Amino acid sequence: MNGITGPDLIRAASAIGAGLALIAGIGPGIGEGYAAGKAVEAIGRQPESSGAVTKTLLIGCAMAETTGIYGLFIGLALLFFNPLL
Amino acid sequence: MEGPRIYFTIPIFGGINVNETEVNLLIVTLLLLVVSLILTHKMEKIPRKKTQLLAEKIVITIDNLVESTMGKRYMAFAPYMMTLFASSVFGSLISLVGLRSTTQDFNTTLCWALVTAFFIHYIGFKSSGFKGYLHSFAEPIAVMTPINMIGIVTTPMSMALRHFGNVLGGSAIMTLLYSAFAGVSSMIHLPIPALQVGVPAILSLYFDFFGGCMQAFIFCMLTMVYISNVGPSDDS
Amino acid sequence: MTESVFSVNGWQLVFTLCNLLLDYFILKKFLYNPVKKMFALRQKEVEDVYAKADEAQTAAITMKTQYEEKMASAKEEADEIVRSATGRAQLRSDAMIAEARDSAADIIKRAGEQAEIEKKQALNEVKNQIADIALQAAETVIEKELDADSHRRMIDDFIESVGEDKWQS
Repeated sequence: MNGITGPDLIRAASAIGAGLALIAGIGPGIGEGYAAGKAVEAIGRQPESSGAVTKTLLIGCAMAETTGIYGLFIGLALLFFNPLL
Repeated sequence: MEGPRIYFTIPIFGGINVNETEVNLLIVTLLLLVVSLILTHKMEKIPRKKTQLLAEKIVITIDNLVESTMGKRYMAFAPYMMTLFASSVFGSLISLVGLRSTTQDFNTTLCWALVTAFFIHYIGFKSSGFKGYLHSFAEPIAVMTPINMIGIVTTPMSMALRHFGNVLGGSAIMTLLYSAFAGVSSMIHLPIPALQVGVPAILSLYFDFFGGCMQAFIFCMLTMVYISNVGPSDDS
Repeated sequence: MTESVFSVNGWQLVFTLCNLLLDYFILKKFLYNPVKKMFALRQKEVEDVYAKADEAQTAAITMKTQYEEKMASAKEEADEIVRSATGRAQLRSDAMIAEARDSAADIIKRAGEQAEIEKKQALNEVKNQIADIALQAAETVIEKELDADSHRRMIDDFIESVGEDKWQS
């Protein structure tokens, strides 16, 4: 196992780290699905307020997505513009 | 994955880089100017042209959005919201013609988020005075003060990162897809790179078009909500 | 040469801010304000039209009121004229009737008086004739000139005592 230098190790660890960082996508996925389900329920109950519900849903989804985006950002950073290298 | 290209460096103040994002920002500005001039060209009292109808539709939509989200007292923000939305949408959509999105640069979204943060604190300061402004950090209870202090930084940071991260993520996925399809095309010896042209276009529609509009809308909505939340509500 | 994908660059922030301001002024000056101005113009025109319509309606209503007032007053006037004419005619006829009645009553009264006077004259004449006859008769009986005056008185007294009723019947 000669020839494995420090940067190689960092790259390998970064790839694993990027994979782990994308686990953050689970939370927003569940959250947004739940929110969308609730929104469908709300629209089913009050179809006339579908515009307001949709708007709120989009905002809520964007907020919920933030953590996922952070995870994605860390993953991309580790893969493409790794600050450790 | 590459950052914006540096075209040249102005040799003052230790070198100011003129990069792709800045040039594209100017292109977007020019585009906005041209579009506005076309839309409002020879307007009449009775609208006959489709461009005028479109211009009126845009203004009415923005006005309604601002009024329903922020209330009547913040109607002065309507042109700014329009600017923000247009800059963001056009900035994201120029990637459809092969230019680099202006929003794919953290500096751009950070600047917009900082402007929002400035408005948040300026309006909080103006509406409740210096003491009330300081007191607002101890709301709802005094223990929350450190968290609220952190919020000063995290609010613009999360706004900027959300927009930037979405565009960057979309772009990264598109880059990966392009290289993947290029690999598949060369693997099955296609005479023309059909996969590279056809399939990513549909995905690009989602990531660039839908994602761009979505993020622009969300950025504007969050700006409006944050700003209207610090000031006194319409009722009081 | 490229910048890094994720970096914060002060100059670029300033440039972006300036660009944002530029965008703001462009959109405000060339899109938002002209459209708003057009809305304002349209609003003003609509308001003008409404104001004119209101004005016309007010004028029409005023005219109608005036007309109605005039009609009412004319009717009243006519009523008044008719009423006064009727009243005057009534008065006149009343007066005429009263006059006629008066004159009739007068005539009747005068006729009555005349009759009375004539009756009295006739009575007196009859009385005188009777007295004369009685006197002549007495003269012839007594053949002697009587004191005309005292005898006449005596006869008159006799006639009085016999009563007018007997003479008349």
